[in-house]
Amino acid sequence: MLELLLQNLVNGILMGCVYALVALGLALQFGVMDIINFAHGEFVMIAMYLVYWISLYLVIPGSVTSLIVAPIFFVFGLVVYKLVIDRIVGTYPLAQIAATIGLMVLLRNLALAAWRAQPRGLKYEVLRGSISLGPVVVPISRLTAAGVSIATMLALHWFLTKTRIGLALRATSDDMQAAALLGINVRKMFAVAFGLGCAIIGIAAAFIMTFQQVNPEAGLTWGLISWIIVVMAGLGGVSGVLFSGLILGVVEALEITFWDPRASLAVMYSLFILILWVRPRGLFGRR
Amino acid sequence: MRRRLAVGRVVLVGALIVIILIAVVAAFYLRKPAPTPAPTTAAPGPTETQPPKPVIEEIVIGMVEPLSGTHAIFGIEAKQAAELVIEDINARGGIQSLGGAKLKLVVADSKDSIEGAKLAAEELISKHHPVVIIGAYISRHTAAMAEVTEREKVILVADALVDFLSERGWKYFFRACPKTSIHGKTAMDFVYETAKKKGIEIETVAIINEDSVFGRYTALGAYHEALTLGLTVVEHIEYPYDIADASPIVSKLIEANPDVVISVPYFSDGVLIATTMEEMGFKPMIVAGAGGCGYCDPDSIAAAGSAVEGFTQTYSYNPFLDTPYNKEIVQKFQERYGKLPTEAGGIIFYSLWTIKEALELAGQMFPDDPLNPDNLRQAFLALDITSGPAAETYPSGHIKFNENGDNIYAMAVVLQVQNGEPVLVYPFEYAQAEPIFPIPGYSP
Amino acid sequence: MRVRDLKPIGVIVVILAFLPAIVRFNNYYVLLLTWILYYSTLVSAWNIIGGFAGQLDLAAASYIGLGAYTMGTLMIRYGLTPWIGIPAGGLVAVAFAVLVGYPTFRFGLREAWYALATISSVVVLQKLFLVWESVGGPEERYLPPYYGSIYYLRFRGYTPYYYILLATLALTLILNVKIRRSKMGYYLLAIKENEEAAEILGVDVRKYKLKALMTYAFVTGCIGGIFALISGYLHPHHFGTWTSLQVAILGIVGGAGAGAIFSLPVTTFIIYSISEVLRSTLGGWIPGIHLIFYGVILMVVVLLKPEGLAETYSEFYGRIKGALTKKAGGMV
Repeated sequence: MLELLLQNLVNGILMGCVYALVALGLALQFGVMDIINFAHGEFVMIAMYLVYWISLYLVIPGSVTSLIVAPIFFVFGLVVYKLVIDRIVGTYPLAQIAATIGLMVLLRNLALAAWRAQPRGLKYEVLRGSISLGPVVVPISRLTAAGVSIATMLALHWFLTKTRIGLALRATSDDMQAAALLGINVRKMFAVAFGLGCAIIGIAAAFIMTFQQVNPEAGLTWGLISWIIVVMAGLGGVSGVLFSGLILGVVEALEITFWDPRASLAVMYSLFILILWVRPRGLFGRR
Repeated sequence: MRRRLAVGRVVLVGALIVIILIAVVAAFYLRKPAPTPAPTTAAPGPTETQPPKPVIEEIVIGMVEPLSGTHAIFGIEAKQAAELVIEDINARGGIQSLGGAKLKLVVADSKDSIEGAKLAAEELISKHHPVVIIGAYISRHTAAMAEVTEREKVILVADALVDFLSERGWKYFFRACPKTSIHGKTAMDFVYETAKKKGIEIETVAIINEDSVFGRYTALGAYHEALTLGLTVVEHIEYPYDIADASPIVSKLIEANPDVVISVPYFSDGVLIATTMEEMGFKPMIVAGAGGCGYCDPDSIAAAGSAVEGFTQTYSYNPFLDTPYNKEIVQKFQERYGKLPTEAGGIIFYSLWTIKEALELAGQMFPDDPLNPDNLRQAFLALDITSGPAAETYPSGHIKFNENGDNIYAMAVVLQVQNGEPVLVYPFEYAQAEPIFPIPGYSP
Repeated sequence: MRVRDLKPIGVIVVILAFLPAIVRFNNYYVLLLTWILYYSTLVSAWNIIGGFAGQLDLAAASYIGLGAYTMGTLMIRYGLTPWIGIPAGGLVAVAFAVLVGYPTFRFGLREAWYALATISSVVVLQKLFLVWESVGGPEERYLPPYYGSIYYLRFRGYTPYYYILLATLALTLILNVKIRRSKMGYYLLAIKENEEAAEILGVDVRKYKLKALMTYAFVTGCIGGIFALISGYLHPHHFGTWTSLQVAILGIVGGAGAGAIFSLPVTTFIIYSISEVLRSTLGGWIPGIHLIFYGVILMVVVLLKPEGLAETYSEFYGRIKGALTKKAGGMV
């Protein structure tokens, strides 16, 4: 039993890092623009499909495609921002939510229409096999994914604290009006934040594909996981997101070990509601 | 002024209630009974109510399948198979005992939903008056249809596998394909007998299944068979088919350390489980799939690669069955559609031919009123097919229905992935190759 | 409540009442119409929370499922008549609504969290009922087949259910009108306009949002019970996120709000019919075309007219009425 617990805990921690990375893009967008993107999960799904197709046609390992998908998705983010998000910033809340919901429904069903329902897994990948740490078996793909997640988070943290654009983003997130008064082009910041968030999704997607598959319905799960993490993290910066991700990963692992794998989603969402009840500003919020 | 308004409101509400009541009463008294396939009106062709023999030119066979939605690939294949077989039956002279009556196929889309299946059945029955309806691939959609077909007295031949369909006490229900528990049982039998053949002792089994009714009943079939054979079931895990991470399941399996594993996947979960097992270095003597989904189909093999080498799966139909008619129809299918028929198409092959046999028998047994639902039902129950196209495409080669509508000679076949290709390994009499046991990668 | 407000309801109900006769009670068409009526009723109920209170509620499927399971389980286990079972289902739905809605109605908490919490609740309930073997579980639970029983509200055909839903629709529309004309209605509209200002002016924001939520949840829960009667079985799939989304989309595109309550059944009818036509014709080649259609119309409406279509419809309706009044020489 102890071995099982240990194995699941390690899995949970590794997955938690990946969950955190997926949620990071959303947290960035939400932090800066104050808009909850309902279609976030669908973005992840589309990115995963992109990884699949690029890997298939260029015959390169999925993990390597991250270098290609990230910039493509940055542009994708800018396009979506221009067409959709820009128009709903500052309008009625109902309209904001509805717009991204519409995007979610559209993307999910376009994917279904274009690529059908059958799941796709990577054909070419170098990150296979596993290493043993005592009683625990750690698949290399997950280890790498977790590693890349942490690296990306560190990079983002550096970007937000040490670069001018990063500081401008943080200023916008803190106080939009003050930032505008200081001469920061708020709209441009929004676009950058959105694009950057999508680029992060692209990286995450590439590494997720190394150990999972994608189908058009996958968006909902990823989206919900991301929102839970964003609620938990509050406005606590990158570290808040990481810790929230880890908590979620571990809770899931424990739940699966001691209860029922079928109910893992139920437990996670109950956690979500609980946080809304008890600490709506998040566990790690700065304010 | 106020008083008038108050009276007005009461009057309006009262008028509304009265109007609704009138409409409801009118509805009950004026409604026409929904058209049922009464004996002589079943066929759009010219039929008379007077004896002696009705002249039937055309018999309508209805089909409800998911032509859109997640399961569209199966539904479309079923439709393709049906079109091919109906053509073939008609080309060979139609229903001889009914004066060469031709079959006409009408297909409706169940839209991959319960309401859709119900609507499709209603639509077919009210517009085309079929004698038999085949469908709907997904068991719960079929159950919804059965409500309609039982009420309207139309024979339902199901191509859906879950056990409960034949346990609901429906009269006009038949199923030629092997039900889920048979699949589970076959998987377990195959493993046991193969081990015995190779002189290898197995004691422990772990069973994992995706958590739908389908997965559960298949797993239960294997479970009961395991107990009957004297094996110990050390672990039974149910998981959601869209599971994103299979490592918790595989770690539980490692902990339980079974000799063999029986797995009932849906599709992508199968690939995930196989690749995770490989990643975590878990390899029992064999992973035997059950239920006809995953592991051995071309897409799964492409996606999982070497991870599924040696895995097996049970199927309701075997395209490599070496009988004259089977080879013929498979070739025709490949020529027309450019691919091999799988479960979805194969079940239709023998189901449609069984219907043809039933119609022939009905024509002989009840020359005056062959298409009467009760008579047709009797014909189905009287069938005992051991030869002909129906038998030649069926795994066990023998079709005979019990009172519940199940084939008492139902059996599945087992295919194994050998060198990246699915190969028939069980039943041993028809096997194309020796089963590989234990599978590559196994170390005690 | 003035007679004038109820007149449109009367017109709609009368027209709908004769539809089954027009299609000659053909089972197929009646079933189709019943589903359209089902969605119309759901959307009208949704209007209470989505239109009046301005909360994007995506938990319709949760309430439907809870209502269905409550009514169904009571009938299967205790033989309880749905005349009691349906309201019981409504009450269970209300209890759940309060559980999820209460924490999210805190002042200052984003509306988006409400939408997220509600759509998550649908998935949670689905998984919970999947695991809860004694009441749910993966197997369908069939309602006992009583044919032609008013006590058990189970019939052979679909026509009686059509009229039951029609009555429910009428009641829901009347409820909408009642709320619009009441104190609660005015407060809700104020809250929707500007929650902060309303709070400052002394409106108990949370109380009224809760009231709206509980009303809507109750009605939807009852509809869930009716749904179970029509389908004839219970299954965790009744908790489907798409149903929630569909109701919300139909509501938004149909003009959620106090302005045009009667536009909702009409637009639901039109949109649903279009989507069904799309599905029958193009659905074979482009799977999910009808769903794409929903996504497109939602985005078009929201991007072009973020304030919602309620005003547009009510204007349109007013113009028609004006034209008719002129024709009748001002006697209407």
